[in-house]
Amino acid sequence: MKELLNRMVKGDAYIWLVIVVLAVASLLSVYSATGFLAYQRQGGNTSHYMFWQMLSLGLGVAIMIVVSNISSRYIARFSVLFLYLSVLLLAITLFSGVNLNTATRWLTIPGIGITFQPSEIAKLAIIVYVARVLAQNQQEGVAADAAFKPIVFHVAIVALLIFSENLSTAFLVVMVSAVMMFIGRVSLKLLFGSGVVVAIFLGLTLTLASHVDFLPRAQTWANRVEVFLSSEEQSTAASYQSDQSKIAIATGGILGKGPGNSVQRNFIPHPYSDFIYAIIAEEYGFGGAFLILFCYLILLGRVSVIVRKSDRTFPAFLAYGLGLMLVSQAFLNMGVAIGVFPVTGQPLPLVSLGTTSVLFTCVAFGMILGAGRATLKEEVSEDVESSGNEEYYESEEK
Amino acid sequence: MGSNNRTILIVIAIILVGLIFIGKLFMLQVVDPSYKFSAESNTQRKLTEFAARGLIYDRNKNLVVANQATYDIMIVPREVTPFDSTKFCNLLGIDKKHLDRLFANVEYNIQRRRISTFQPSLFFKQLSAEKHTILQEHLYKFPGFFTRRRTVRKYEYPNAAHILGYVTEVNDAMIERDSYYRAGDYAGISGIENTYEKELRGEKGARYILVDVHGREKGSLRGGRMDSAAIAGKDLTISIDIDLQAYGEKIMQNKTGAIVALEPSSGEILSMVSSPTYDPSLLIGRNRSENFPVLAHDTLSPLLNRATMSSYPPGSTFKVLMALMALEEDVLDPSQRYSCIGAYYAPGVRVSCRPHYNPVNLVSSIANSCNSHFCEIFRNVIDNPKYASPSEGLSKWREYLLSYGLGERPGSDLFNETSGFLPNSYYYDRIYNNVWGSLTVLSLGIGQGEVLTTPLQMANVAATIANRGYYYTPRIIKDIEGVTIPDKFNIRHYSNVDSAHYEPVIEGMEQSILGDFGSTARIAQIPGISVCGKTGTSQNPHGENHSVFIAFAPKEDPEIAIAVFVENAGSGSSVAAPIASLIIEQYLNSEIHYTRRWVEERMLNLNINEKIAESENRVEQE
Ligand SMILES: [Zn+2]
Repeated sequence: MKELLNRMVKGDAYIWLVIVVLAVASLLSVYSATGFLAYQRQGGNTSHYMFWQMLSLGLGVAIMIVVSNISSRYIARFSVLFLYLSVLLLAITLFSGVNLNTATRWLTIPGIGITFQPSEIAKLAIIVYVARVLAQNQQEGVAADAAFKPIVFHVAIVALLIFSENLSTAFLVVMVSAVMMFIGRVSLKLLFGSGVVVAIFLGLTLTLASHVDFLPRAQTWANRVEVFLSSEEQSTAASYQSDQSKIAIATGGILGKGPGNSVQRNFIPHPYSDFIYAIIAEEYGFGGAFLILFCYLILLGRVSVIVRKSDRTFPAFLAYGLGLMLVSQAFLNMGVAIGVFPVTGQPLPLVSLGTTSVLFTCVAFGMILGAGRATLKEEVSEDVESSGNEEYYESEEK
Repeated sequence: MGSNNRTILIVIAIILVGLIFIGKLFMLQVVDPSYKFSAESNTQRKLTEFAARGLIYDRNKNLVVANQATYDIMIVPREVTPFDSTKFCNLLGIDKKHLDRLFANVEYNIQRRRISTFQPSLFFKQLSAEKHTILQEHLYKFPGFFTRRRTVRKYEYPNAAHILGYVTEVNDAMIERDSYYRAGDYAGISGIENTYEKELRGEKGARYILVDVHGREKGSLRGGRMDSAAIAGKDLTISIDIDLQAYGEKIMQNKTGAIVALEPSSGEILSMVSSPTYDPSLLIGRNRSENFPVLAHDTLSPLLNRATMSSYPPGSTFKVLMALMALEEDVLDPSQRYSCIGAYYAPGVRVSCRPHYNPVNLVSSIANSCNSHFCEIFRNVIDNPKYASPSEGLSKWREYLLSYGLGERPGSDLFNETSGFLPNSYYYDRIYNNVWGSLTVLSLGIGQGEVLTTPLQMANVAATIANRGYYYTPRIIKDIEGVTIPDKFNIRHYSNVDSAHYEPVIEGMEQSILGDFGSTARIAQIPGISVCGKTGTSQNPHGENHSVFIAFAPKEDPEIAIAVFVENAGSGSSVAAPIASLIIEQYLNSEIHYTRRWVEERMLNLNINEKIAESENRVEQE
């Protein structure tokens, strides 16, 4: 049994350390940040949300272990199916989703009554798909331009389905895909070209949306961006969030106020998700805030190690894409909290309260660990599947 | 696959972003203090401490205006949780619709960013102290609400509404004008509440408290060192004798008009009645919104202060002024006898007189109010050979009147004054196309025609005569706690008539009351008091004449000067004179002599408003 566990829970030890640190930070800060919410809604049971988060993380780690043990071959095989399934879910959500906070990002699974965000699945699916297409088109000394068309086509579908309701996730998907293509040696000319097209599309949509009311969220984006851009220090309702977040970080100081001593949790909207980083900075000071940021940098570093050591392209692209996605998302969240980016609704991966986010983050970590495990194994013994292997994928395509 | 240059590029880029973040974190947490200070605003709540308005006493130190507590209900929108709205409505004494309106209002203001969802703002105004006591016990069931104590006025007497004025919430224009005010503050809008607003309002204070996330008070900020206590407004003493005021209002009930009584030696207003009036308590607090429109739409205009805002022809009371200026101009010999033939005849003109002994001298023509003699006197003033034209004569005439304070605002500390009207020669040039003489404007000599005066102005004329030639600007203020009253109230204004000329005129005024048959105001005789007065009947083209009387008493060392105007009451001797005499008697003797009870009875029961309403009905029916 212990043997089995040992064999299952392998993979990069540093990444495991990162996961443990983030999970502990999550439980501490969620407990602190939800005190008020729990007091109001759960009849004084202040640990309600922390227990829920603990369950999510536990389930997530289990899923992570299972996923890390799935061979990348299977992941690659099901990537297309996975992608189309998520596109279907996105389409359903867009037209019938639960309207939460005026964003129809949520889908209720009939019968179970659990709401979740299909954009989280789609985010993973598109990265797996991009990794796969890039891997198939890697040839020594040749630009991987053949991968460009299918990738752009599918990324566009996903991004279009997401963007009207969740601009920041769409942005992350497009950006990570673009960086993956950049790494995957798609020629710069094509990348720049599509960049220009995307910019024109965004510009047109936003201009149009301010005149026609076909994008219900456009007004909210405009407001958020507007408030961020105006540097006046007046505490209007909309700049309120970021001001309160900055106050939290500033009053945390070097040493922090100590666990559970956040004052600003009472004044920041969604202190347990969008602004959880501010609460961490407030309670654990500069050191705590630095540690969390450093965790994500370590993750990126370890992913780079995996990529460098891996001599198979698909796991490498997969790990790199997922790592990039997690780190970008984390940076977006932290950037909002410290006031570098305008207010968006990205959770801090593995830390913010939210089952959907935690579970799919764990799936991503599982795949990264799996890729790492494969390379580690190869380090130990070059026995299995040692042929390094574009050809392998070509054959699998049939 | 190994790493290529592009991978390294991306990793470097991300590490750079990480470094920027760390730099920004370091700035926020270690270097830049600005956000550390603004943190306090979250947990601190500034509570305005409202100052109690100054109290108002009458000249005998009776408390006239005090304060009473009411409670405003405040809301912190973010902290409101679903609650039992039926219960809440019952506690406030409002219906569900009203509550919905209040919430709609809060939402509207939040959308307009007029109020913050995190800071308290006014939800419901002026809950009575009784309701507040009950609400207080249940308030814990309604998170996000708390109450704030305010004071509103409490009137100890149902009188003197026009003098006192009222207090209400400031409007946007006032906030704009005076930075002291914030929305929701109270200020005096009319009367002395307005004139002495700066003295009465005091100084608001502030209290800073710390609250937890549930809105519970957690002590004061920095041990209360930033708090400032409210400073109560200054108490005022007004010159009104509240008992006399109440008496005057009682006697003026069911009549329309005004009484102004002054102390000649100071210009202090002893009583100022404008009838119909209203109970000032009607305009306090929540009742105000109900009662104000009713008062404002009343056809008898109870909100109008007739004592200062209505102008009437002075009628024959004006004759005393004509006599004084004629004496000063030396166109009248007091001993000269004049024979009245029942009317004044001149080419194309006939001014009828009333029956009286003949012939008359100055004293008896004042006592008998002989129109003929005063037409003569007026013509002598206007056509004085000293002056080249009637136009110049009229200018002189006007100059004398101005020196008695007619034709201009008296400049008192009353809230609203009108100037009345004195015609000048340009006025007649326009009307008569430059062709006019003393005969054209003859009616001026007997106080009819274009001259318009307010009751306050005529009371001031009475005071000037009482003083034998000077007056003080009328005022309502007697004393302000710790402040000297404005200098302008201590200046003697002399009339252009020498004090020696007053005696025959005063003699005539005395005889109008003490004289034989034909004297106009015998009803104003008060046992033991020598009253000097002059009746007037002010012609009113719209209906029955207005009854007018001016007087002062006692003759030597006068203590009271008075003007009474009663609209549509007929001759001056029938209503205004008895009313004035009652006020004088009440003020000087504090009671009405038993031989005069019938006069008091008759004036109290006289209902002119009803008579007029009846005759109007008759006209309508015909
Ligand atoms: Zn006569």
